[in-house]
Formats: sequence, structure tokens, C-alpha cells
Amino acid sequence: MGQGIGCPEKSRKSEPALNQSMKKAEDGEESREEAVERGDKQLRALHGVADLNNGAIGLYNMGLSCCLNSLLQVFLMNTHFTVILRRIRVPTVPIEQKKSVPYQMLLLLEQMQCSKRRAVYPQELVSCLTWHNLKLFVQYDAAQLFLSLWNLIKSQITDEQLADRLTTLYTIWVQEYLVCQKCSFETRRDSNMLSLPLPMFNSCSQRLKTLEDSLRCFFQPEQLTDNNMCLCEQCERKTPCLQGMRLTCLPHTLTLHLKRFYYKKSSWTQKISYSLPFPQSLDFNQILTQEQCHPDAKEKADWQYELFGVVAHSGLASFGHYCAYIRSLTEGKWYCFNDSSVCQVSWDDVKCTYGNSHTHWSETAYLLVYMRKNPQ
Amino acid sequence: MQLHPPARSSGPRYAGDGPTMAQWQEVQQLENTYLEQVHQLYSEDHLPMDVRQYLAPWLEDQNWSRAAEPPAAEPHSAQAHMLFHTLLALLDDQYSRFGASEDDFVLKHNLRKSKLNLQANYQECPEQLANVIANLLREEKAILSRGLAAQQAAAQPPSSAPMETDRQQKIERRLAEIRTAVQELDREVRDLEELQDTFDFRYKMHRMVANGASPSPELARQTEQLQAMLNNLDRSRKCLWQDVLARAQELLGRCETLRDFLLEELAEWKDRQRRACIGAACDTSLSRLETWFTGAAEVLFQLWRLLRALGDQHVKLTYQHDPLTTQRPLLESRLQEQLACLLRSAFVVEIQPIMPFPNRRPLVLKTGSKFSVRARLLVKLQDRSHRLEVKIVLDQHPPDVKGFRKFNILTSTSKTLVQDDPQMEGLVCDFRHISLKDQRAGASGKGSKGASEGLLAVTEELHLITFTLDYKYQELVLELQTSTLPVVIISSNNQLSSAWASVLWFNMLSPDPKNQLFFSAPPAASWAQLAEVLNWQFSAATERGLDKEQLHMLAEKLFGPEATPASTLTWAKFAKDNPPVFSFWTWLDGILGLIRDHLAQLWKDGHIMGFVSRRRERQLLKRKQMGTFLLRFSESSREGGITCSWVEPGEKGQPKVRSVEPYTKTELTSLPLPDIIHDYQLVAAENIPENPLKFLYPGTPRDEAFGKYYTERREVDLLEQRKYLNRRLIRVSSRQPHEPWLPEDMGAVPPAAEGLAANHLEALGLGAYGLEQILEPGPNGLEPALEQALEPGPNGLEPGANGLEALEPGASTQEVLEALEQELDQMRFDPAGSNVLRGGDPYLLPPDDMPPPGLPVNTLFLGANDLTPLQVDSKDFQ
Repeated sequence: MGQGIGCPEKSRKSEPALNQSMKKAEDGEESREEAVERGDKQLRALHGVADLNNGAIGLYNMGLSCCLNSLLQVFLMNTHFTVILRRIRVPTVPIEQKKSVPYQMLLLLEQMQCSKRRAVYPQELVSCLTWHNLKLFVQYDAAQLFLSLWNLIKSQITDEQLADRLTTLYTIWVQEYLVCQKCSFETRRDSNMLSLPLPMFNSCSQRLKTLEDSLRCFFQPEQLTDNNMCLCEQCERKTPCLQGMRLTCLPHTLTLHLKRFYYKKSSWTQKISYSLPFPQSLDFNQILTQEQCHPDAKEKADWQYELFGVVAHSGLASFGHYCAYIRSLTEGKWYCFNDSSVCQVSWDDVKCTYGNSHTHWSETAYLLVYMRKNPQ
Repeated sequence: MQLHPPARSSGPRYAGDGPTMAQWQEVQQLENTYLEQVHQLYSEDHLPMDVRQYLAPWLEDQNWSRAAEPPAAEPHSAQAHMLFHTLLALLDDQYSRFGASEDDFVLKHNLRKSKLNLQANYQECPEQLANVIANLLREEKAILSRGLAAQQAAAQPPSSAPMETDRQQKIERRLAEIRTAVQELDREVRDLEELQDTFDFRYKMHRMVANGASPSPELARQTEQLQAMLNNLDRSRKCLWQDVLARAQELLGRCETLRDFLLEELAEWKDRQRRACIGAACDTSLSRLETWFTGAAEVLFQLWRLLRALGDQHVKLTYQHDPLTTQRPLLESRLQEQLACLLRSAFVVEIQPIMPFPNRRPLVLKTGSKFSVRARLLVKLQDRSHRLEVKIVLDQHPPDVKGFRKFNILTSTSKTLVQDDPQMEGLVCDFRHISLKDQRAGASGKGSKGASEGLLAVTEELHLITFTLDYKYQELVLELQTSTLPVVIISSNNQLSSAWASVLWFNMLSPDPKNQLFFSAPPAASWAQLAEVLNWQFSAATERGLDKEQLHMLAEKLFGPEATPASTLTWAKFAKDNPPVFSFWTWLDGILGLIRDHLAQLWKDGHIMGFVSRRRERQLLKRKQMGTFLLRFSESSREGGITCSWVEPGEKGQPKVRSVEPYTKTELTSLPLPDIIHDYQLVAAENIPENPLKFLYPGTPRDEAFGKYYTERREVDLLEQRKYLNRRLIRVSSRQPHEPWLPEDMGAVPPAAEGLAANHLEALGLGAYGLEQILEPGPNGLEPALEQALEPGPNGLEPGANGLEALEPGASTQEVLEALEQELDQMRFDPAGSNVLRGGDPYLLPPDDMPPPGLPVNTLFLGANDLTPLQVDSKDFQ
């Protein structure tokens, strides 16, 4: 099952004092507070204004930090995330400011938005992350780094309400079930994930042709037999059973993770570079069957998604480069972020990351970020 | 290391392909509306326009944006300072060039003022000036491109420009963008190298001085300066390297998209070529693809040179966690892979194998006959120091099939790619005059595979010719390969038709262009696919395709009245002869041959309805006036036959439709169809011979439709003593007045008793001016008569030969005809003749238009020494 969310650490800091430099952003915030009451539509319009100058600005590579840079862009270009980021309480003590990941991200965001340059140095944030054991000069796996980064941010947001908002924004809720094949007794458990790790091959080791196929395969129940049998409470012994999950709730920002890297025992990690096309818009109601959705699933009508970002990897499993393709929410244009270099691209360029079985070094999509079409 | 300037000599120029003309010059040539925008741009006094004017080339050549954005952590931009001071110096220089004239006085004044203003405004903050200039240049560029776009739009009316697809526009645009980006990168790397060189030089000088001199404040100051320069250099290098690497990554990403576009274009070209091979009219020119592929490869090679240059710098100096150490190898691998991918797909077969004869049918090769084939490399970059040699091999990986024939390619199997041949465009390799030889010495007989009978018939055995090129350009070494479409190898001309059927079927249906075992399980074709390909066969061979009605008839013939576009036809039904029944393709190819050899012009001009069923034919003709006729292809003739059908009054006043026995190439060789139509006579006992063909369907008078095709009758010189009489071959049909006409709907063979009255018709040659006519009753049966008609030997010309009666010169036509009729009467009821005519064809399909067991056709001819052969076929209906 997917990675759970790290338990939010209760922060000791609760001083509401505002940093001087935050004044401006906070001013906007108050009007936003009112707007929440007045309706979502206005909210959108407003935080759109707040991030209107959120142009595409590059981040210098601080030493193998292309993976981090790509993820930061995916976070910071997401206005739904920056709305939360802007509301965080700022630590008063300088040393704590230096250690606060969300605060440093906010500073970086400000720096990027005020910058007249094409790119800025994320120095402070990087040293802050180093503090939290996310070191430079290490090849990261973007999916792992995304989880670590998200958990760090979440754990350091002191305002519980805000932390909940962050959770709601990113968390996928599912109900896992286990049905005993002997007595049909069903065990259920609610569980949550930050991303759906999607397979590249089906259970018969055949290539999956599209992202939709991969999603269907992911929600396909699995027979557990022989060594994999589970203890049935009712039969009081290990029985063959059917394991699967039902989707309960999809978040506003949905992260999908293509399992392109696979580990063979006593072998190198290998990368699967063949093509797996993904659509610009995704309707889960078309993909999942009734049985794969939780009967109480809310807002099923809103399970309409549009592609927002692609974190693509080029090179080999052990040795490569990350870049991010992000559709600017304010302009609706696609940008490609290669560290300090940012350029506007077309959907053809994004399609290029579908993959290609003939090449080993080309860009292939690794993380896909979809965003709900009509945000509630 | 000195970087080579980007190779721009080959290939056409694109917008954005480096400055061809100074930007400022181009700006001044813009139209007024755009000039106005330029004036506005300079209306604020950031940079006076006169400065822009005097220093145009220099201004455009500096990297202002870099100077405006010094690397972080740098207090002020050394580059901006440097540029600022150079600018002032250049202005002084310009100032000193002015003379003493009155005009110059004002100019001098303005320039001086400009210089002082600049000095006052930007002395402390040269970055600002750099920023201003960078922005101005960018804005100018934007105005310029808008203006040029408007000019182009005005100059090119949209209709005249060839339609470019969306993708083609994207390719052009992207190629131009990438070129510009690589050149910019190139310039920045060069700038850094220059900075490095300056430092090296000054450092060495300093060391020399310092070695000999005692420490002094001056020296200390210099050391300090040098240290500052080194620090500066180091900072810009770190910053630039990172930036260059990031941008190189970005560029490679964009190139990947470009490559995908190009591969899609190439796939479409290959598809077009495949269709063109089987007759479709497609544009298979490669020049555009060559331009793009070459452009893309140039950019990638340039980027590669750039990365190698960075590598050289890296050798000179490196530091801990240098991004170059880790990222450069990654970039190089990625780039090499892209180049390899591009080059591999750029090696194509431009002209598929084709024998010089018979024309228009490529991919069918005959052992021992010469053929030619051409490979081409679409990346037209050539390293003069390497010869690019192409090797050619047949069936590199032959399929594992019993009896699969093996062939040797005769004469040379390798050739050099030539670029400089003025005869040809592109980097091509032409194999001409090569031929194939069966490896089994003394292979058994014609087309038969003898004892080693394989699984596949000879014409279903597919072979591939593969080209291998050892490519070398600069540091890149690759082996490129490309293959032809599968070819069918035959050993005898009579296999040509069925070999072509295989080529058609393969290229119409095979999803894999290299599947040599396609015919071990050939798929069926839908009528929609087949109709298109059949249409191509006609349009390619005769310049006129099949219309809807004609295709409809073919569909009904194949699938019956319920034919739909989705109806399918198997390979066996399409092309496998199964004696005595011949296949659809054999029949159709016979007709194609007939059209090509004898009816090309008539078909092209649309006078031949051709494919029309008897039922349809009756429907059409019955509604028309008597004497309306049409031309229709026989459905029962294996080698292709054409017949005339006309409508005439029947017994009870009902319109009746008659057809003449089909003419095949045997007849048409000696007598063109228009002449047959012109002179066609129907001879009946009670009336004079008449031509029943009066109006070509729907209603064109015969001579109006066919007049221009009639063979010219030569005027005969009356004074000239003639040795022989003039003669001309014509064809007639005779009709029994007392016998009933065959009922219309009798498609099948009529009762044997009917129509057996064999008429021996005479070969009648009408003299050029009808003076001397010879009536010659033919011998029994058709064949001897035909022989005579075809080979007009002296016998045929001799008056009275074979018991002919010579008519006196001067006899009227009426006399001739009377004589004719007498003869006819005599010969009526000759039972022997009836059988001769009915030459049974073992391959006949169930007869549809099979004429009733007819009467013998005799040839009448008259001799004269004006030898204009004209043959009239005679046929009796009953």
C-alpha cells in the first residue's frame, strides 16, 4: 500500500507575531479570509491576484538539486498550495526561522516573485533542508523526496487548521479490504496516501498501454494465495483471500507516481523507459467501476482532473536529471523548468515525456500532478 | 579552444538564423506603423537614438542581459563596467571622426550631449544601462518580428503558398528557436573563455614582473586586482556553467520534441512512398525533410562541440561539487543518443528497386535483369576526411522457410555516398545496373521451384535489400541501416502480373513494412482499401482512374449486389488462378494491359465506359435512341477484351441490345478500335450493310466522339501507276434475316440448334476510292480468314485468290454488296463454320456476355496499293 502521511508534529511555536517582511502578504490574507465566507469563486479570483506575478522563475542547481528544484516548482506554482503557505505563522526566533521549511519556502517564493532575474538561488532553503537531513549531492528519487518534503512542511505548520487544509489538498483516501474466499468475511481499513504508485506492468507482466490502464490495474483486486494467505478472523486460520481497495476521496491536487524504476534482486536498479501516454484530462468516473469506489464516496461528480504538472526524469536510474513541466494556473501556459533555465513549451513537449522504448536517455514522466477541474 | 562558428553554409536560412543584417538596419526598413513604435521606444531619454545609430553593430554584439544580471553574491558587475567604459570610448572615437562642416557641428553637439548624459546617469550604476540596452534590443526585436510577419503576410497571398501542416510550421519554428538558443549559448561560452584567456595573460605578465621586482605597493595593488579578477572569473564561471548546463538540458528536451516531429513527418513520407509505389499520386520529394534533418543534426552537433569545449575548460580548472563533473557526461550521453536516433532514421531508401522495363511497377525484379535503387542520407553533413561507403545485401536475415530462394547481387555491392554530384541533390548513393542471380546453379525451369518446392510460391516470396552505411562525422561513429520495401523476384516475364499482385497486396495491407512472411497468412482486404488501390492502377497506368459507377460494377462482380465498403476479399480470391477459372486480378490486369497498349487515348478521354454489367448496360441503352452504343470490357476474356454494345429495334418494336464478340489485343494490334467502330458493318440478307453504331452513349454522334482518332486515309495519286489495288481491312457482322434474335435476357448459352447457320462472310477491302474492289469469300471458319486479315500476305491481295471473284473496276458499291449477299447465301447453313468460331476458352468465367455460339467471322478485304489496313469484324446474332 502507498506511503502513509507522516504524523504532524506539534510545533512548540505559537507566537502570532508577524515578520515585517510578511506584512504585505498578510494584508492580502485578511481580505482573503472574508472571501472564504463569500464564496469560492471570489477566493479563486483573489488568490489569483495575489499570485498574479507568480511568473515562472528558475532555481539554480545547488549541486545535484535538480530533483528538489523540480519538486519546489511543482509546489510553488500551485496557487492552492501557496495560499496555505502564505498563511503560516512565522517563527520569531531567527534560528527557528532558519530551520522552518515552510517559512524558508515562503521566503523563496517571495524572492522568486520579486526577482527580476531569470533564476534565483534557493540557498537558505537548501541549508534548512540539510538541517533536516535532506542533503545535497545525493541522487534523490523524486517520489521519495516529494513525500519527505511534504511531511516536513506538514509537520512544521503550527496552525492545525492550516495543516488540515494542506492534508485535504493532497491526501487520497481509500478503503482497503480483505475478503476471505472461504467464508466471505470482509476486513476493512481506511487508509490514506499522498500519491498513487502506478504500475507499468499488469499482474501478468504485460506492458500497460496507457495511464488509464495503469490506474485500472492499480485498483484491480488481487488474489492472495499460498504464502500470501492471510489470517481470517472468522475462520481463525490462514485462508486464501481477495485484497483490494475502494476509492473514498480524491484530493484537489492529485499526485500519481509511475513506477518506472524497478529493483531486481542482486542487480542494478533499472529504468523502464517505454511509452505510457497520459491524458490532459482524466475522469475517474470513466476509469473506475462501481465496486472500485467506496459507496460513501463524496463528490464523485468532481472526480474530473486536469494535468497540472509532470516531473520528468532523463538518464539512467542511477544517474540522471530531473525537470518539471508545469502548466501555469494564472496563464494556462506550459513551462519547462530545468533548474535555472525556464522556457515556455507546448503540449507536444509535454507529450514527449510519454517515454520511448528505443531511447534510454530521453525524458520520461515520473510524477504526474493532476488538479481538479472545478475546485470546491 | 576556439569554437567553430556554427556551420550555416548548407541548407536554407530561417528566420532567426543569426543576424543576417544588423538589427538596426532592418528596423529602419520597417513600415511606418512599426517605425512609429520604434520612435516611441526611444522617446524616453534612456538611450539616445543617435548613440544607437552610431554604435549599432557593436551594441548588438554585446551580451547586455548578462551584464545587467551579474551573478548573485557579486557586488557589482564587472562586465557592465567594462561595457560602459567601452561605450564611452567608442563615442569619443565616433566624435573625433566628425569633420568641421556645419552639419557635423550639430551632430557633434548632439553626440557630446548624449555622452555627457550617459555618463551622468549611469556612471555609478552601469548595470542599469546594460539593463536598459538589453530591454531596448529585445523590444526592437519584437517590433521587428511583428513587422516582418506583417510584411510576409502581405507579400504571400495565402492561396499561392503551399499548404503547410500545423506540424510543419511547428518544425520550422522550433528549429529556428533552437538554432538561436544554441548560438546564444555558444556566444556565452566564448565570452567566458575570453575572460579566462585575459586572466591567464595578465596573470603570466604579473608573475614575470613580480619575479624580478621587489615588493612594492604598486605590485601589491596589481596582485589584489588580479585576485579580484580571479574571484570574479570564478563566480561567473560557476554561475555560467550551471546556467549553460541547465539550458543544455532544456535544449535537449526541446530537441527531443523536434525529433519526434521529424520522425512523424518521416513516417508520413514513408507511407506516401509506399502508396506511390503501388500507383498513388503522392509527393515523395525529400528536400524538405533533408533540410530539417540536417538542421536538427547541425544544432545537435554544435551543442556537442560546446559541451566538449566545456569539458576542456573543466580540465583546466575544476572545484569540488563542480556540476560539470556529473552533469556533462549525462548530457553527452543524452545528446549522442539523440544524434544516433536522428541519423538512424535519416538513412532512407529514396527510390525503391525498379527495373527499367516494364515501367511503373517497382519492387518486382527479374533475375538477370538490371535494376536500380537509391539510398539517401537526409543529414547532409559530410566530413571530407571520411569516405562514406554503402554496402548492399539481399536478405540479411532470411526467414527460416523451406525452399526460400537465395540470390547473389551481381557486380559491385558497395558504393560511396556522393554529395557533390551536380546531377543529384542530396547525399545519395545510386546503385544502377545491378542484377540478381539465383544461387542454385542451373535452377530448374521457368519460375518453377523444382524439387525444393517451398512453402511460398515464387511470387509470394518477399525479399529485402538492406543498405549498411558506416557513418563517421567528427567524433561520432555509427552504423546506419535501411531496407527497401519487400521485393518479389521472378525469373520469367509471365510472372510479372502475379508478382505485382503480391506487391499490391503487401503494400496495401501489411502493417509491418519488413514482414517477409506476410504471405504465409495474408490478411483479407476490405473493398474500401481495394477500390482505392485498383483506382490507382488505372490512374497510374492510363492517367484516368475509375469512377464511382465503374467501381460499383467491380464491387458487384466481386461481392454480389450486397457489396459494401466493408466487404472483404481474400488474397486467394483476388489473385490465385485456379484453371480453368482465372482470378479477378488476372482479368483486370489483362484489361489494364489492353488499355495501356491499345486504348490509352480513348480511355483517357473517357470514351470507354468499360466496367458495366450487362444488366446495367441494357438499362442504360434501352432508354436511348436507336444506334446508341457503348464500349465495355469483356468479363470472360483472360487477356482483356473490349466489345461494343448498341441498341436497335427488335422484332416487336422493342429496343434490343446487341454486342459484338470482344476484340482482344490480337485484333487491336492490326486495327485500332476507333477505325473498327467507324467501319463496322452489320450485314443482313434483306438490307444493305449498315453501321449500327451511331451515337456514343449518352448521345454523342459517333464521328464527333471518335473522329479525331480515325486513321487518316491517304490520298492516292491518281496518276501513279499502281501495281496493286488499294485495300483496307474492315469488320462486319452478318445477320440471319429469318432467324429470331436471341432473347435479351439470355445471358447463357443459347440452345445449340439456334444460330448455327454459319455465314461465311467475305473479307471486303474497299478501295481508296472504291474503283477496284475485290470480293473474297473466306475459307471455312474464322481462323484462316483472320490469319489473312492479320497477315496480309500477297495471297490476300491477289485478285481471285482462294476462289475469289474479282469485280470489275468501276462496279458500284451496290454491285459489290449484291455480290456479297449472294456469297452469303451460298455459304449459309454451313455447319462446320459454327464450331470454329466458338473457340472455347478454358478460363472463361460463367459467361455473362458470352456471345451466342455465333457465326463464323470472315474477313473481307480488297486490295489496292494504298495500304491502309482496316479490319472489320463480322459477327452474327440471332
